[in-house]
Amino acid sequence: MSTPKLVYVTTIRTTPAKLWEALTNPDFIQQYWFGCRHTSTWKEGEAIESRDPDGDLAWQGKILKCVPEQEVVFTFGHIGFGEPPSRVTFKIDLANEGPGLMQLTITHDDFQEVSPVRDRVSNGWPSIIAGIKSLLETGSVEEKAGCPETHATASASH
Amino acid sequence: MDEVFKALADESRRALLDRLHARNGQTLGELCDGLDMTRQAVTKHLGILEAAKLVATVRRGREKLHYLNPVPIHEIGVRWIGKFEVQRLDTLAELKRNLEQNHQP
Repeated sequence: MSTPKLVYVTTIRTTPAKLWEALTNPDFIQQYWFGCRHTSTWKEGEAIESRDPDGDLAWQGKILKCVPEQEVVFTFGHIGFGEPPSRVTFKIDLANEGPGLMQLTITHDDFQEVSPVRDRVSNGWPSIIAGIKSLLETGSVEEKAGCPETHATASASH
Repeated sequence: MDEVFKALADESRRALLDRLHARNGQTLGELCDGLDMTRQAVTKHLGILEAAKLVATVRRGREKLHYLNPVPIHEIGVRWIGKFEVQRLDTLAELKRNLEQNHQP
């Protein structure tokens, strides 16, 4: 019996190519991932590592599966927690809601029964996934109070 | 965002989210267990929650597991709560929790 996963889903008005770029290009990543940059060749079996703004290693892992513009799976070993690596999956699908919308699903699983890493990342993922959406739809991750709704087309008329 | 508010504006659906918050990744059967709702009603509510992206489903063999997706609620939060208010609000919520606990008979 595996421990519960974390699952996050959002729809983003973008293309698979742009979403893939946002997930794999360190210049994009650092804008929504608390300033961290990941480096990897994004090839199966190769390493992935993420460094915080000070250049210190934040987490590292290995690419388990990589299908550009569709799916990437990697192990996630958080530095300083002494836990065996967990597993992160990014999946890109066409959203059911309409053309031009992608569904991004992030799954984080394979945690230990008691996992401080799980508690830690469950605070971070909603902000990361919201940042990816904001970056692709508005060009910035600035989350402003009172920003217009992404899918609202009609302006308010009273 | 309308869909999210409509989905949340129902006590039974909030109860289902509470159950997933307590234990993520449940089957329909597990979610129905001990609830005063028919299986059909739970299915319908889960459909509405899934359409609003408050619940995500993942297939595991023949089972369909339901997960609470906090992303839409996070988006509501960032829309009206400033970045630097979060900590003060946490403190306030903690204070409220403590005070109310101490006042229980």
